[in-house]
Amino acid sequence: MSDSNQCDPLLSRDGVIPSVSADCRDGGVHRRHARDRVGLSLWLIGPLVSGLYSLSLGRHAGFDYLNVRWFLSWLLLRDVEGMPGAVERLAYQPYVNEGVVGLLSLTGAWWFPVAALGLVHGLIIPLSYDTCRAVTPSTNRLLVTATALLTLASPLTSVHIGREDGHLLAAVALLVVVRHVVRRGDHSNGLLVAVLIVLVFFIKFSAVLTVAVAFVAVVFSLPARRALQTLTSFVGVVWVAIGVSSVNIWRSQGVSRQFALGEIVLEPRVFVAVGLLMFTVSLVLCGLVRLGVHRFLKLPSFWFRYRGLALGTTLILISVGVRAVSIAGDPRFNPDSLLVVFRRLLSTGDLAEGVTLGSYSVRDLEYAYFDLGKGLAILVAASALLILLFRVRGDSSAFGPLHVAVIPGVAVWANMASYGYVRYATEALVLLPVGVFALLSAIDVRRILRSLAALLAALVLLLPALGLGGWQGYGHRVGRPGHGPLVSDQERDVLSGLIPQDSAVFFFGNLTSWIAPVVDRVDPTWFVKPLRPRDAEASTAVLFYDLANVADLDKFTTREWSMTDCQALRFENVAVGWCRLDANQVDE
Amino acid sequence: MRFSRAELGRIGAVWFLKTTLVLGLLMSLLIAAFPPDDGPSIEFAEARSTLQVKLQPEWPVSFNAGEPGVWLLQDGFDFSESDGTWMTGRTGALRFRAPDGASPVSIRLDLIPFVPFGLAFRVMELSSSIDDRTIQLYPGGMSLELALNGHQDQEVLLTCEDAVSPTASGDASDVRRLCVKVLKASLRYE
Repeated sequence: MSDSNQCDPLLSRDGVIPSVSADCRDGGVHRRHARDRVGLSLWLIGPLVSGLYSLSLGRHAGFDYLNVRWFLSWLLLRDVEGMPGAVERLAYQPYVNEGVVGLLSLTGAWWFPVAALGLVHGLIIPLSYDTCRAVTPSTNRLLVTATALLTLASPLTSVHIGREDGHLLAAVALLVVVRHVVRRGDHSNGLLVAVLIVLVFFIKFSAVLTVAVAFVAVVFSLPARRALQTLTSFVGVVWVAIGVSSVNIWRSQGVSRQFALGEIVLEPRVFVAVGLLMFTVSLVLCGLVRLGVHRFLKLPSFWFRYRGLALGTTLILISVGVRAVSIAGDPRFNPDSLLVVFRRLLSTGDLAEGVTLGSYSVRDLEYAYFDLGKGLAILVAASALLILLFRVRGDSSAFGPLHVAVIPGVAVWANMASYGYVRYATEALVLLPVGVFALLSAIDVRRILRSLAALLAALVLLLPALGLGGWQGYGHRVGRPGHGPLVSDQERDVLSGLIPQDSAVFFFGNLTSWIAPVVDRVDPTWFVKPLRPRDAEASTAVLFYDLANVADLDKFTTREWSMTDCQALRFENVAVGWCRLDANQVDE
Repeated sequence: MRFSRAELGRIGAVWFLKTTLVLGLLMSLLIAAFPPDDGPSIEFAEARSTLQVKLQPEWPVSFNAGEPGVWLLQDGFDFSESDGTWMTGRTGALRFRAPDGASPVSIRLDLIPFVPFGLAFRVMELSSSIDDRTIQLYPGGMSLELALNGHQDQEVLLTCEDAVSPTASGDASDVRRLCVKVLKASLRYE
C-alpha cells in the first residue's frame, strides 16, 4: 500500500467500517494538502473565475435588493436615526448579509460589490475541493477538481454567483464549518464551529433549516465531550448574537426596548434570565465533564456506539416535525400535502414550465429551471442514513464523513417539506459534491468503482450546466440588470434635486426605496408607509411611487395630502412615479 | 504540529477577535471614506425643468426602450422594451407638450393589443380633452386616431378593464396584466 493510501479511509481497514485515523487527519492529510498544487491553484482560480463571471452578469439588480435590502443596509450604515414607519420592523431580521452588501455599495462603483461578492463566492470551489480531498484522499484528483468546479455550475447555485441575495455567502461559511470538521475530526474547535454556524444563520435567515440540519449532523459527528462543548458554545453564541443584533432595535424603539430575532421577541429581563440559566447549565455540564462523570456513566462509549442511530432518528423526527409544523413561508409555495413534497423533491424543474404556482403545484421556484441536484442529494442522504442506522460498529471517527453526507439531502427535504421553495435550500445544494464524496468514502469498494461512482455523480451535476433541460435561470425583469450604475450621475442629480432640503419623503409600492441609497442624503426624513401630515410632522413632502400602484395612491389623498406636479420618471434603467405632496388645510 | 483542546479553543477565540477587529476597522474606514451628501446637488427648479424638457421630444415619437418618447408615458405603463412598452395598469396616461407654435388636432397611436387565445377581441377606452372612444382590440397590430383640442399641453387616457395576464389566460408565463403594447405616436397639426 502506498503512503497516500494509508490515509485513505477506504483502504485503511479491511472489512471494518472505513475511518480516517488521527494520524491521517493531523499529519498525512495536512501534509498532502500542503503539497497539493492543484488545490492551491484553485484558491486563485476559483475566486478569479467566479469574480469575472459575476462581472459579466452586471450590476446587482435583484428584486429584494432594490426593494428592501439596499435601503435597510444604507439606513443602518449611515446611522439614520429613528427609522420612522414600517422600516422599524426590518430591524427584527438578521442583517449581516445586508450590511456587507450595503457597505460594498457605499463606494458607488457598481462593479465593486459585484466583483467582491464574486470573489468570495469563488472560495466555494477550493473549499469544496479541499473537503472532498480530505474525505477521499486517493480519489482521482482531476475528478475531484471537476466536481468542485461543478459546485457552482449547477443551475440552482450558479444563479447566485456574485449576486447579493446572501445564499452563497452563507454557503461559504457553512463549507468552512464542514471543511474544518472533516479535516480536524475529533479535534474540531467547538467554539469556531458554533460561531460559523450562527454566522450562517445571521447571514441568511431563510437558511434556518439547513443550519439546523448541518449543526445536528456536525454535533453528532463529534465525540461526546466535543459535541457537548460545541452545543454549549452554540447556545452562548446565539444569545450573544441576538443581543448584539438587538442594538439596532433599541435605536429604533426608544424607550420600549426588546431583544428580538424574527418572531421571537423578549423583554430584557427575560433575555438576561434565560442567558444566565444557559450559562449556569453550561458551567454545570462542563464541571461534570471535568470531574469525569461522563466516563463514569460510560457516555463516550454509548455515544460512540449509537450516535449514528441517534442522528438518523433525530433527523427523521426533525423532518416529521418540520412537516407537521410547516413553517409559514410564501403561501404560493407552501406544499399542501406530502405527495406534493415528494413530487417537488423529484422534480427537475423543467416540468414546471407553464404550470401555475400554488400549494398543490409541482413548482418550487418562480421560474422554470433544470437541475438534478435535489434527487441526487436525497439519494446520497438516504444511503448515508441507512448505513448510519444499521452499522453501529467502528472506531471513534468512523462516521464523520457519513454525517456530512446526510446534510444536503435532509436539508433539501426539510426545506421542501416546510417552505416548498427550493431557493431556501441553496446552501444545502452547495454541499452536495462534498456529500457525494463523503458517502463514497464510507462505502467499502475498490478505488476504481468509487471513482466511477464519483464520475457518475459529477455527470449528473454537469448535464444541466451543458444546457440539458433548457434551463433559463432566474428572471431579473423587474430589477433591470445590465452593466453600469443603476442610474447615471445626471439622473441621480435630477432625483436628488426633486427632494428639497430637509423634506419628508414617502416611498410607496415596490422598487422605490433604492432612491435613498442612490441619492445618499441624510437630511430628508424617509417614510415607507402613508402618514398624515401631522404624523409626519410636515406640511409638504415628496412621494416616490411604483407606477404599477397608481390605483392605490388614494392612501395619500385620504390622509389629508394633495398631490400636484406628478410625473413618471423614466430613466434609462429604472422607472418610478414622483409627486409633490401638500397638506390640505384642515379645520381644527 | 498538534494542539491541545485548550490551545485550539484559545487560538479560535483570538482568531475571531482579531478578525472582528480588523473587519470593524475596515468597515469604519470605508464608511468614513464615502460620506453622505449634505443636500441636493442641483436645485429643485432645475430638476423640474429637466423633466419638462423630457416631455417635449421631437415628433413622431417611439416608445422603444431608450427613446425620448418613453417620457410621455405616465402611470400604468411597464418598463420599456426594445420593441415598445406594455400598458400593465388598469389605466394609462400619455402626457406631452406639442412643439412651440404648433396646434395639435389629433394623435395617432400605433399599438399591439394582447388578446388571449380563444377571445375574438378585447375592449379599450381612450379619451382626450375633446374625444372619447371605445375601441375593440383584435389580435395583431393596429393604429388609432384620437382628436385633440389644439392646446399645447395634452393628456390622453387609456382604460383597460378586461386585461389579464398571459399566465392567467394560459397563453404564456408572463405574470403581468397586459393591455396593449404602445409602439409609436404621431401628431397632426392644424
